[in-house]
Amino acid sequence: MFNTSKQLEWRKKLERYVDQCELKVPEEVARLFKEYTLLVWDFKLLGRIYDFYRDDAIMYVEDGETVVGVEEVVANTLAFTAAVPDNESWFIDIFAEGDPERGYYFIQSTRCVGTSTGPSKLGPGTGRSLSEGGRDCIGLCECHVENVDGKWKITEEWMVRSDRAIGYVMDPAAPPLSFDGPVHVMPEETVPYRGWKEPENEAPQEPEEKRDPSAAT
Amino acid sequence: MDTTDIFAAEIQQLNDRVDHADIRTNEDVRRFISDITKLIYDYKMIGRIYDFYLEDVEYHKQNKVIFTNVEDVVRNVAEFSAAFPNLKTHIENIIVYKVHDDFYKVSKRLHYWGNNYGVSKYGPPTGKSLGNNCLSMSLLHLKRIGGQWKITFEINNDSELWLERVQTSAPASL
Repeated sequence: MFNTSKQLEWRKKLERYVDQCELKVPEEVARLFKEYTLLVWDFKLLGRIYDFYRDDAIMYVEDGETVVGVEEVVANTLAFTAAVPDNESWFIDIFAEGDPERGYYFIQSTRCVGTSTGPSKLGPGTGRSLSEGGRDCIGLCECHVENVDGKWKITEEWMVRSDRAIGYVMDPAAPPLSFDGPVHVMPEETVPYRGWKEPENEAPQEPEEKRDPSAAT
Repeated sequence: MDTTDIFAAEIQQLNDRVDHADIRTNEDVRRFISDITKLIYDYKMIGRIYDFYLEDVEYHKQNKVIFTNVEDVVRNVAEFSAAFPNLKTHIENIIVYKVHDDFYKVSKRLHYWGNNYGVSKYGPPTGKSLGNNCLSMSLLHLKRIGGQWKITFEINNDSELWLERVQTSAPASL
């Protein structure tokens, strides 16, 4: 499990970039929201949702469901964090398109990693890994980022996250998951930034201890 | 003019466009991805998957499903299309990021529209409609290999629970 206490210096670097980023080019947007995602999810700074989501932000999720308003976004994030308190964001990729005048769209793909140890709508934590069976769930999330009254805000979001597989390991009655096909076959984390350079300091490296959790299942 | 003539002409137009695609800009990629999506799903040109996907494509679907070759992709699309023979794609947004001249990263967001009028892995057709609830998202790598543009990697997540509800006797309401 990611040891947050030992990574507080790294957290400060992430916060510095997130607080100072001006979103001038798509590469900056990609880096910003990767580091922002880590702050919200891995470092559990859920209050930072208020930094970037509009009051009336809309999240369209799978199966036709819609989350309306930032408080609902916070509530949903809280619920998942409570259910999977060791959840980590393992990025497969993130990239953006747009410009400062029209705003940006970005897409991110992450592996949903962690353990069901807390309560969810399916019942108490099961102790089962989201990587059960040797495969991770992959989430896709797209956001529309617009300049609203001088501040960059996420106004719309679309997300499809393999909720069925996540819910499966949260269900104590579901038998253990296994696959006939390949296991531990996951896309490698990619480095999405091309031509982007931070002249003064490099993007902070992830700590060595953030190892591949699916190799352990 | 029959509707079939109109469809045939539209298919021919799409075929011509994708076969002669000269991809140099993000807009070119957007048009290419939109065209091949329409060809495969709306116009049932499923065999064109062999043209656009690498033979040993790495393809991840929702809920831990992995395909490691193009035949699996073809099979999956054929089953889906058979279950929803009037399937149409409503493409909402395509994000393009140029890595270099021969490599683009692309994401695609769409809704599937259609009715379960065909047999599926869940059983006989239900006739129920997907409505506007079947959100599908993809992230893919488009690379020029041997002069041809190929999808070498894709993550594709569909609204699986909704698809199941529509294809079974479970209530279709949210």
